Amino acid sequence: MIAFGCVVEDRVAVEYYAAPGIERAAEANSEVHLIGATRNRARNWNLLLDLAARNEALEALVIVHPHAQITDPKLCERIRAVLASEPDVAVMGAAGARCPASPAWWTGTVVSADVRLRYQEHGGGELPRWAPFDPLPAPSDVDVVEGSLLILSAWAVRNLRFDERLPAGHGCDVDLSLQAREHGKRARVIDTSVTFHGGLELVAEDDYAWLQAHELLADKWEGAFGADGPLAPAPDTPKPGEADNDEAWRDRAWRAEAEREAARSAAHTRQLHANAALRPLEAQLQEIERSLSWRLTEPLRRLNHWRRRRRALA
Amino acid sequence: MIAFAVSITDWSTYERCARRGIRRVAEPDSAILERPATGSIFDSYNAILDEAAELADLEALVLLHQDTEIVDDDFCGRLRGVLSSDPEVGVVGCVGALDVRSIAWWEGSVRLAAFRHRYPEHGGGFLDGFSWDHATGSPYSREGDVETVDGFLLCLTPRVVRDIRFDPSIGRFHGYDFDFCLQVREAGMKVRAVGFRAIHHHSLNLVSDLDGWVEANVAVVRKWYGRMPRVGVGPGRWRQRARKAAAERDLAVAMGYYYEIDALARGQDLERAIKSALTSIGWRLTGPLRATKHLAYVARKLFSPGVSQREQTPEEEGEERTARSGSFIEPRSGRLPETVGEGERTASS
Repeated sequence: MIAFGCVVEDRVAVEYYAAPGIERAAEANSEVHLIGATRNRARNWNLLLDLAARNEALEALVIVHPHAQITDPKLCERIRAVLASEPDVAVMGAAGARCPASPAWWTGTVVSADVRLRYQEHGGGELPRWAPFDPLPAPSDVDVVEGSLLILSAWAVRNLRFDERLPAGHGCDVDLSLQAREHGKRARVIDTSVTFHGGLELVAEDDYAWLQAHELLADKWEGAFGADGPLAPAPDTPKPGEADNDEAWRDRAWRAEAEREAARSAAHTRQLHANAALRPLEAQLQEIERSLSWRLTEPLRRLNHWRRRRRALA
Repeated sequence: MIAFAVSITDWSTYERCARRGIRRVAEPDSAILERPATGSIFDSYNAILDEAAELADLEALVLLHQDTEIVDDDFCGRLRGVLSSDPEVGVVGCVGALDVRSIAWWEGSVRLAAFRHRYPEHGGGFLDGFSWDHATGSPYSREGDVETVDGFLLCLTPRVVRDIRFDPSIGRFHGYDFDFCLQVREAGMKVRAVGFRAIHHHSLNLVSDLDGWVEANVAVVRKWYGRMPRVGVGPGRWRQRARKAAAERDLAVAMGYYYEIDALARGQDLERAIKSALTSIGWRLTGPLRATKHLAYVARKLFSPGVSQREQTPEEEGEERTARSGSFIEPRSGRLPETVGEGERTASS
């Protein structure tokens, strides 16, 4: 039996997005666990694991973010196929990354199934969610799975738990993937499709909980998988037991700060390019709207707008 | 005598940018040292300093990037005024900042930014520093002493030319300006930002060779930590600082992602609005009007005398950009010649 779980952090979102997706993908015997939210996502998801683990017939648990809509009616079939052919796969999802350099999973080689982002900004629209990361196609093994759609094998449900120390649960998807990898299990992005209904912003610039979670995960996992694995230690990583103010940590701090400034500069460059690339379109629209033709026909557009509104109200 | 010097890797860029500015502002007796680059910028600039130190009657040496164009007609007069009013000034630039803790001077409190960044990408355009326009400049835009100035335009006093050298141990390109300003300040001289204006003809890629930039940053911080105030300092213990900076680095990557996907979304919105406008009944009804106007414009262009070939002033660039943005429309869609006519009319009016 493949179970589904969703934390009702946002009731409207669940009704409009997560629930229709679960209905589309669930099988006749699927259990669906909907639970109320606490403040910590890791704690919520652990409750889902506890509930799902009660069923002896559990094959897998699909945890769906309230804003994620599964659009693949054959999801269960695909999950079952993976579990049957590759029993050491413990964590699956629709996006993830190989060998992330840090707890921010997108610092690795990003792999993505057909994940769409339906956004509301700028008049709304739809885009491939991870396009700017130039993702590799699914299916593919990864080290960490992104948590909008998280699929856990029965083994994972019974043996792993999300780390509730992580502020607001940030990064608990990455952490659980790494726990599975530590147990010798595999993580995989499967070939499926999902639409995420949400904002364009990945992390808010002033999200201190995210920053804290990043630091905590770095302390927990850095170097755990050796020099070639995820969160590989930097060459200048201080040895265990070195005091906080040792020279090695000082050099590392300076390097990290330099990398931060470089990343900020690169981000700003991306912003400048993006804005410059849009300028021709903005100019084109501006010229149309400033033209005599456009101004002359303004009353006609107003009339049309009024008629459309009247029709809609009726 | 005020001398000008440029280390050149691309002569066409130099001709188009730096030389144009030097011609505009140089005095009859100004020495102009146009030197091919030799090795790193540190080496090239040091060779220039050695040569300039031998110049008789040197009042100041103006070191320019090859893509820097000075556009302030009274440049020499203003520079002379600054140097004569305060003999402690060692370096003058037109972009400067306070509380600078690394070579990322823009992460400090930028005090003056009297430059225009003119880029070639996406059909070309420009971005103005906040002190570019004296009338509309930012309230915190101030001339005065700063901790560092940007190296795309450096004016050095004879004492600095004689006594101080760029430190090649820092790297090959990045960080030379901040390190040089630190040396000048350590020698007891002042670094000053003055609002003479320059255009930096530069790609939108703000930092080339990010790895080299990181290495140079670490080298400068390591050299000056504990030797000059602020450099390399920050709150927290070293371990905390390392972890926090790594998290903030990844957050910056996420912000870059956001800027890109946000632009894609804005692009979709604009395309939708343009399509909706062009397919509207009103637009189609007024097609003949635009066609007539376009014909009139073409006729006017054919029968009017040629356009003046004089050089543009920076103030005229705004108009030029409007004109160029009109030309962007042309290749985008086959059905827009009428719009082009209207756009160009807007620009020429």
